[in-house]
Amino acid sequence: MAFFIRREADDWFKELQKNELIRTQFDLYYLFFLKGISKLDRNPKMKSSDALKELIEYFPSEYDGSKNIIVGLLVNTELKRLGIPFDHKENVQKKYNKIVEPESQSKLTSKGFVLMNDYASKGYELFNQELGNKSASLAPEFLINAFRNLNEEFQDNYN
Amino acid sequence: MEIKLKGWSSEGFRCPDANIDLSHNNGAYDLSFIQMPNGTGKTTTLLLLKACLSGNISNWSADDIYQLKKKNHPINDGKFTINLLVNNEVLSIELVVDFREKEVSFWTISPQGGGRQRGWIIPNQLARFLNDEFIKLFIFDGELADKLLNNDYDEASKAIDALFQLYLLDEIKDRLSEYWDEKTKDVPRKSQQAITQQKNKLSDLKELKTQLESKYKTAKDRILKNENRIEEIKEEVNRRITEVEEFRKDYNDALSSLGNIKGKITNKSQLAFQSLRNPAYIHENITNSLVNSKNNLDSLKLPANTSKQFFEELADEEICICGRPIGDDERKEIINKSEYYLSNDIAGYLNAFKSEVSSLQSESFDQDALENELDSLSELLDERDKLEGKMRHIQNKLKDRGDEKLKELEKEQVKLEQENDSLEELIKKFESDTETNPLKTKNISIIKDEIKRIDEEIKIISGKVDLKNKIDLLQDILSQVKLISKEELKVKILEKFRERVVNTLEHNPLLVESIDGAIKLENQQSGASVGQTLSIAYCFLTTLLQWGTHSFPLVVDSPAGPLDLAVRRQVAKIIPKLTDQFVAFTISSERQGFVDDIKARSDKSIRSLTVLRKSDYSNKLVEELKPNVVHNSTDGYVIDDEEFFNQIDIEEEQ
Repeated sequence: MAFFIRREADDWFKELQKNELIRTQFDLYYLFFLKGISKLDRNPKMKSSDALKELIEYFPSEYDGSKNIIVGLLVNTELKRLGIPFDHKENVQKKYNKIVEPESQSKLTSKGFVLMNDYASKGYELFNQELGNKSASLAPEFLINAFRNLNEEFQDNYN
Repeated sequence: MEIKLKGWSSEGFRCPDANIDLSHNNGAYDLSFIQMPNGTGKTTTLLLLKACLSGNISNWSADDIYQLKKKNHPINDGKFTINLLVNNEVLSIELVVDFREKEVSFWTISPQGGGRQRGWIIPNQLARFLNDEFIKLFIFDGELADKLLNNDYDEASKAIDALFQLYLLDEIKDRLSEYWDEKTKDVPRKSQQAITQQKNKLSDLKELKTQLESKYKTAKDRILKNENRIEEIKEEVNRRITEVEEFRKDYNDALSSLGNIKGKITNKSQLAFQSLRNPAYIHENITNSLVNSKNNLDSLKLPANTSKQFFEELADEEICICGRPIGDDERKEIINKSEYYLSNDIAGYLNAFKSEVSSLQSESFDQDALENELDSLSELLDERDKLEGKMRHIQNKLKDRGDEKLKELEKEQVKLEQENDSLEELIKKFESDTETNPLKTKNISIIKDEIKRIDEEIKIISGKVDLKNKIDLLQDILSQVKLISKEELKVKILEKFRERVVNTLEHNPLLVESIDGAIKLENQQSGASVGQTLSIAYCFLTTLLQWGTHSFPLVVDSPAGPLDLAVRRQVAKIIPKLTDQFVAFTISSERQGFVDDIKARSDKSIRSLTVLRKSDYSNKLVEELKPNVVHNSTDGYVIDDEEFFNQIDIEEEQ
């Protein structure tokens, strides 16, 4: 299993990479993922290979210090989305079993990958609507706008 | 493979009849200069040399053949012979023309091959190099040099294909497709009709795909070219503004500050992105959620001592730990319940997670760090905008004073940027057009998928699924082999090529960045100069021509013709180092700074011949020469005299 990004996001990546803002396409995928979870919304329909492009099977080394947190955030988001309280021991354990695979480099089970990809897919659509696909050509401005956008979303939706 | 060009002889053609002997000490001269005024038949000689080498005259029409005939001469036959030394063995190829019948025949003369035989009979080992694509590399014209460094062409890539014959892999693929076509003829009539219908669709789609792919490539190349030109324009604009005393200081200061600020913006952006990779920096709600989650895990005593595996193992037992027997119902319930306990190995992950979250609660974690970084990034962006505004203001002032060139450059830049925007839109269509009708869409992937689908259909209708699968697999393997081989060869060639460039252009080394379709130089956004282009092209070609144990001559028409004196000297310096045999067709004006320089510098064996067409003027010129240096033919002279070579001053045939 691997991280899959929406193919249409290639243009964004090219611009951001040209501006030396991001190193790998995973960085862009990560922003999309954050956008998806900030809305507690995912797109589980996008499964065809035409629409998605395989990126990588593990977190790039830049995420060594935060990958456990990102996976934990995915578990939290799923608990929130399904309305499961964090102190419901049995369901919390069940969710971790479903999403976390400690032995794999990515720390994710197949289901975990699917969930992350679904959130990222939705996040791409939302960013595309809200920031427009040309915004990536102004890389530093894009970074500020993306941050502000995410910051507001987490303020409103992630209490 | 080692090939030396020992010479050639010509009779009955438009060029003067001549015997050019380049033999030297059982081999050939290292450097040969054949001085021929324009109009003496250089083009015809080169054409005949290439035809003899390739044995290919398939593109010659009857009229082309007749045009080769000597003018105003009652001759009916022509014979051109090229003499080679191939791995130290003599080989001659004759091209014989019957001008009345407009027919051409080849003869091959080789002591090892049984003397003179009709036909172009070349040993396989040699024949693999004697095809049009490869011959183009060693019988060289200036146009190829430009193309080797021009992104609009893929001549560098083709040159590698030619040396290593990678095109054979494509030929095998084509042959496999033909084989499949033959096999699908051999099915019942009804199926045959359906197959024909599908094949027609397939052929339309393949043509469409080729057209779109070509447009896609052209658009991409055009964008790159425009971007390079925009960079040039920016440099030109800067230069023009700083030429004006009044603006120089302000503009240069702004330009330098702008460079500085842009560097800071890149650094700050990267730094901010590094923080962003930890989601906790985005909003305190994320941090709180993570801390909340950790606290809950602690209060739930997770990871616990009892694990999912404990219940899984228990379900395998006959008797429970409480001593009661475990039946099917109990087993099912234990397995179900096990889902609500963490796996053994998840403890490691949870401990790492908790430790990372703890760091978010430490004093060193600054929740506002990312926001602060982005605020200072915003300030840098404002500064950048101000500086750009200032520069634009100066630029406008100069335009208002009537600097027409500046206006033109600005207009050109806007036009190029607009063109690039439209091209980007077009490229987007090629990549993601939402029209799903394969014959109407511009989306290349959709067309490819449809081609694949129809291929599958034909395979099923024909009842030869197994055969088609094998052909597809083999074609895939061939494509992969070509791709991988080419990439690996490019790496090796690039290494040798760079070495050659550094050793050859000692005082002015250019850095070669890559060989894709064309050769790309480092830091050469505005393109290479004529001298650089030619030097790099010579280095690249001779890297290929001297590859491994290979050695081929390099034959060049007017090597210094388009170069100014300084560039000639630069190129003259490198020629003797490049190849084992260099043969140049020159005119008298190429002596200064080129032929003279090469001769003065080189300790290699050198041949200097002058070829003249017979005329009153040339008759007078040779009258004063010793008879033994003049080789006389029906309509020409070959003069083997160094002094004559150095003094004669005829550019055009008199």
